[in-house]
Amino acid sequence: MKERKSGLHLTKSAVFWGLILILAAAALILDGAGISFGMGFTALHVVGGILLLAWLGTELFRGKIWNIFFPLAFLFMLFEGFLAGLLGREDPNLISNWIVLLAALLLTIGSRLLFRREKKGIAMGDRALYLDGGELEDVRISENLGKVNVYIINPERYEGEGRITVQENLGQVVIHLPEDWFVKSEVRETIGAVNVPTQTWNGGKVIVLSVRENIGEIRVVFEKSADDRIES
Amino acid sequence: MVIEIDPASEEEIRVRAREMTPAIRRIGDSLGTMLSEDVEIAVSEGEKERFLLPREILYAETADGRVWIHTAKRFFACSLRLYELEELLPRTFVRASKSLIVNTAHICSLMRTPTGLGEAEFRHSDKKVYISRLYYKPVRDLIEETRLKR
Repeated sequence: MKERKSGLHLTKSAVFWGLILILAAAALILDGAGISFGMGFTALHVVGGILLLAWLGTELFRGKIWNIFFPLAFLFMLFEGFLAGLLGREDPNLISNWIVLLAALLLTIGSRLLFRREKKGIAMGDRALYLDGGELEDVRISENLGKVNVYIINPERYEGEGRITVQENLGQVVIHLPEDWFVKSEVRETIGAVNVPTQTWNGGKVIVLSVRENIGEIRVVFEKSADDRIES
Repeated sequence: MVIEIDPASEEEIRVRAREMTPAIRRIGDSLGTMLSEDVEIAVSEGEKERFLLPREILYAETADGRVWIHTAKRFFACSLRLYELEELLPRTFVRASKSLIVNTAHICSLMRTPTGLGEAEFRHSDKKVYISRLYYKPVRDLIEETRLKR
């Protein structure tokens, strides 16, 4: 069994949340200084609204419908007072914040169960799995008794936060990945072989290979991008 | 050997013999292979369309309802069905399982696994394919025939 340590890397998620925290701090400072933008909109409303809309837009663009409910909930909470005014209500608190957050949580869980797709491969014989680079968020290959080759189509669509989980493998799984991807291995409960070529992270996309209950062989092959003329 | 040039006739190659012998069969196979080698297979790679020559192809397989063609280092989607490819490609291509055809010209090793499957490796590539028990003998026979021909 071969394990490799992964290095630190800056993901899009880290950049996104880092910027959010910085802008949130800026909004708090401006709001504390009493700076407003007319019509009662404070810096917190403007900055918060922009960030939440960006979050919402990102999730919609990625097609992750189950992730839109929390940004919607926060947008509602942020502009609740204005909505109450539009509806002619005296009390600016239309709905308790706890109810809003709880509803967002339930909607997220429910829609995730309904819409989220997991690629599951259960192989007895030999088969090939062709996975789209835009759908590698959570790929599971389980209960494999045969030989599975995994290929990535449209690798340019991969954004770098994916995971391939191989569990209960008694056969052979060969995962073919673009050579500029970096594999972060998480291996446990394994007595079989896990072979990942040694790599140095060069800032490229990272994919997590999670291996559990493996008795067989799992191998990663990096495909070269150069033209491959066959010498005849 | 007689070659007749007739501008008015249709293009055809005709071999006349008293009976079908192994030599006549080899002539027919060789001619068929020569004609098929000029065929180009259209494949897609994202937005791009490429045209592969048969000699560039190691194997073609179906998965998830699509046909995938593999060269030494890459693979492409193809809109043709597997049986259509089988008809277009030269005789060195043979069915290796219900969902796989392989180019025997590029196979550099063939091994029988303990489960009865055939494991085939290709020249200039790390890729391997597995030949089902039912098709192992036809694949092996074609490889032997191809080697003896040379």
